[in-house]
Amino acid sequence: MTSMLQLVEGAFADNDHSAASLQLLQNFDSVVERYQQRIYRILLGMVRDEDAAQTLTQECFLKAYEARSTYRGEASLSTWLIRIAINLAHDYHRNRRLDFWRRLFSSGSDVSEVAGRLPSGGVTPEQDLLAKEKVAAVWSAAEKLSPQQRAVFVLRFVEEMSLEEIAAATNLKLGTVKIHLFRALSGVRKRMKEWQGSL
Amino acid sequence: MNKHLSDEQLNQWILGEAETAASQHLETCEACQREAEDLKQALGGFRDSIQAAAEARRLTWREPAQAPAGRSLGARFMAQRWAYAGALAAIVAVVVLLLRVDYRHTPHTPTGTVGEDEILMQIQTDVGQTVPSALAPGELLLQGAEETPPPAPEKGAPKTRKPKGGDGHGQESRTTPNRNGTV
Repeated sequence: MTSMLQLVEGAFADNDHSAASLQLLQNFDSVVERYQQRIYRILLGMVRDEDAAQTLTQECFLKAYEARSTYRGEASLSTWLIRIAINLAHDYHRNRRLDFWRRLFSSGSDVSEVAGRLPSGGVTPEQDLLAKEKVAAVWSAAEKLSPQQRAVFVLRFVEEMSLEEIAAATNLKLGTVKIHLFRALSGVRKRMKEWQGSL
Repeated sequence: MNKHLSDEQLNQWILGEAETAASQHLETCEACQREAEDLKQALGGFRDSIQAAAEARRLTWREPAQAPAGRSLGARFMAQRWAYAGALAAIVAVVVLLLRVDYRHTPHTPTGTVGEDEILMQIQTDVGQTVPSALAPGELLLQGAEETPPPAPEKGAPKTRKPKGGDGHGQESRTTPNRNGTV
């Protein structure tokens, strides 16, 4: 496994690294170690494709490395990284025209597969199955949300971020974040009712 | 508060911003409790499934050759778009080329000139004529005179003789099949 440090050193071999940059590179490796799981979770919730989420996670850190000189420390490092990840996910969704090819060449790991990864916590297999179906209904509801609503939804219910943190990471006003969350929750509840009705 | 919680109140409770009255109602109303817990459980399951997927995934990094640095996903899609546009242009060029080849092999007469076939047809027609083209109107007049039935013979006039070998029905009778089916 290639480390992020080796990767970025290889990618930017032509650049003249100053001592400060090399120091930052060292730190950057630990930044990757610390935040890669979190960024991957957010991207997986947004793009709902494990391979694409992994590619975008790598892209997120490469972009962050490239733009490291522009980071002024106004927002926390995680907020800055999440912002880059959300922008990448939005770019990914904008390329709707390539959706067919994306599905055709994807490795087949889809939403139902991720929903099936839910650790079994039920007393009986039936309870586990019901819980998995319930989660699949949430995934299905999340699929119908707009990319911005989905980002807000994932940050709140996967990363358990506060509304203020979400507003900072998404560059949205607090009121807009609340509206997105309310709409997302209403969508989830509607889908849940449909699922319960089909039982 | 006897009425059940509205969607908005339930959403507020999920977001931890419920009013005191709504929270009090939730403590006593079993139906609302069940609905709120169901939703909370489903959202918790959603979070757990993503966390489990992230933990199961070994995040390995691809070499820059596979994921070039500095080239965004959008730029890669743009490159693919150019590739598709190039392929489309090549297909259009091939179709145009094929159409042109087909056009060359199709006999056609240029506008304003007489075609070769047309000249040959005209020569054949001229050669096939029994009289020169200058005398063609005269021949037509002669033919018209032959085809016009002769005036009814006057009483006492001698009957015209039928031509030898003819049956009185002209050329048609020669092509009429006999009983054996032969002409």
